[in-house]
Amino acid sequence: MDRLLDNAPCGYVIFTDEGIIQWMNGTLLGWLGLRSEDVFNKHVEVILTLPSRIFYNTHFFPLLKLQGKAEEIFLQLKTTSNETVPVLVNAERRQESEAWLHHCVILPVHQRQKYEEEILNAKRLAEKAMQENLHLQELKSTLETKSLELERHYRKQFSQNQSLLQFSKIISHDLQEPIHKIQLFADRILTKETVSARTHNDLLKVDRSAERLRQLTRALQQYISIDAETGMTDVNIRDIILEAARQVNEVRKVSGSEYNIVIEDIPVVTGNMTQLTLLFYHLLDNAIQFRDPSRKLVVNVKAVTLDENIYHHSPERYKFTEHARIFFSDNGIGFDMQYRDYIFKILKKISASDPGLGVGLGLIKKIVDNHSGVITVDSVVGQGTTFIITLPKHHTQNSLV
Amino acid sequence: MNKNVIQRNNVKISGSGKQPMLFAHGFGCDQNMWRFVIPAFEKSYRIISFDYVGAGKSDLRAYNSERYSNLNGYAQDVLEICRELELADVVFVGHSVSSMIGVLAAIKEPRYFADLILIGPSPCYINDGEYTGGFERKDIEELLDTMDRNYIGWANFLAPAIMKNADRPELSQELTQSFCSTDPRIAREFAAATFFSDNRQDLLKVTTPSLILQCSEDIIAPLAVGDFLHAHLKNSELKVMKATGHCPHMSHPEETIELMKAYLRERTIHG
Repeated sequence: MDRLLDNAPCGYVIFTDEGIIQWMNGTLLGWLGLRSEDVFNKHVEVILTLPSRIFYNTHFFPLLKLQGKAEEIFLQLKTTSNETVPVLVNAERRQESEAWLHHCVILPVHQRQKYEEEILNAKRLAEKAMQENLHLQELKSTLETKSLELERHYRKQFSQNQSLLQFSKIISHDLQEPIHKIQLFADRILTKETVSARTHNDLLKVDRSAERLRQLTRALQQYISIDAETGMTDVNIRDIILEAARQVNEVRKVSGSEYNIVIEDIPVVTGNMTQLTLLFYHLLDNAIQFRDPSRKLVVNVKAVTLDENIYHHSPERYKFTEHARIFFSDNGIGFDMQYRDYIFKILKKISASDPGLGVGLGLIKKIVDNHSGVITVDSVVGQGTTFIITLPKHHTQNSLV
Repeated sequence: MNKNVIQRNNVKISGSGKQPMLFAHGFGCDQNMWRFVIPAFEKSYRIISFDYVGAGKSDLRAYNSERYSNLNGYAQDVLEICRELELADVVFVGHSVSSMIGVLAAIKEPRYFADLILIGPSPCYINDGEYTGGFERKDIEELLDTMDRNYIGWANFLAPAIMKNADRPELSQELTQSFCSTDPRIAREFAAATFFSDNRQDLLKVTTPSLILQCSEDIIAPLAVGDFLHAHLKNSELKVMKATGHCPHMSHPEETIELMKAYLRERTIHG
């Protein structure tokens, strides 16, 4: 029986769970140009070409192990003279005495291979044509819907821009005038008239409120006019953080030695220089305002480059491009994470007694949006706050801004 | 558009422990490949296993060529499962290409992960100058050809699942019986995404501690690759296994389990 199998007109190999060859028949040895002692106790992979070894590991072996058999598997064998033998394999997993063994019957398919190749090529062509056709049809209908959507967006945007423009004008001119007058007349009464102490106090309050109103309108105007800024260049984040620090120090009248900024390696990002400077201005300003008086403020800025999907609002679209994720951390007083979305709204403050106008973070969010980025925040009360800003590294014609 | 992630990825949860252990299968298979390993951890961990979209019993309608032609798309599957189940402190166990998928996920959202266990990982399969990945481009192209030949008899070769309306459960059932991976086009795209990927630059960005399980005589991830990974992954431990081949969790489950347990024990002690 063994002799019959040894000379049978098909290849036969038996290997263990570990892939170690236990027996190979003469026919297969002949095809490969090997002797029995060459393969005994060797790994069955040695008779396969490199690509077939991958397929053995990723498909053939898992299939045998998990399903107990594999049928009509195409593999390429390698002969000692480095020729390849295309074969079909049927294999079964059997328990014999204690061990599991895999029995494989192997048939060369030289002729069939040529035929299959032609079929495959024809199939590939047909498939490709069909795919392309399908793809084109899909694209056509998507394009149509998107054009209409774009038109609607454009119209809406246009009318919004018109309103914003008017609004901006009102804030910068029409509103300034009455505020100015309130302050002017309050001052005049305070300096020229003799009034009771109570009226004096009230007038001081009027003056302060008018001053606050003036600052608020200016902040609002800045918020609205951010969109008008265009023009993208390569921005060295380190440089603009240092510039922002210089500006903050001047406005806040703090000296650079009152806090430490540690800036680690940060990749160059394409963006709007003015806006990004403003972004870091407000981040730093925020860190200074909410520093913990019991310790020196330390701001740490670091970044990691990663691939993120550039599409945020098109659920079925994916294009992974390089992004810089910047971590801006301080050791300030921190805040309760229940406010994490709230703080990014314009003119919102967690507590009315907080310093500042509540403009900064709203502005930051808007600038990040303008750069097709994402901003999130992590904070622990008493330990500090980390703002995480993810920005696309490059803005090309194919990207969004 | 957030389809139910649990159904989409055929997520299975078992085990009576608290800390999550997330098993991610490699190319060419599905979560079934973990069945020799999972029982050993069910007592101490909350076990989560799943099929990537396109594999096993996942929802083929959710397959998206744009998304899944990039390993970042697969990493998104992992992160979406973590988010959906509100996981934290995850022990991520990835086989083969899932190792790099886990690496990408851990760079994006380190807060989910406590440890990465990488079985037969490789950051780049193709040789490149001094770097030995083990393969030339033409080897990978031949692999794609071998795959095509093994899918030749399949009736749906011309009716890919990428067409959203191809909702034919009887077909996918027939396919999973003959192969773990389902649709030939998907398998081909996964193969290309896997074997043409190059994540060498990403390794240095990983902060999560990791265990590299390196098989001796693994054609897909040779010893030199394991050394490269160990040198570039901070806080990594490299164990060269007695096991040969590329699937130690199937061929040598005992040794795999033992090494995983030893590493996790060490981590709880010196955490």
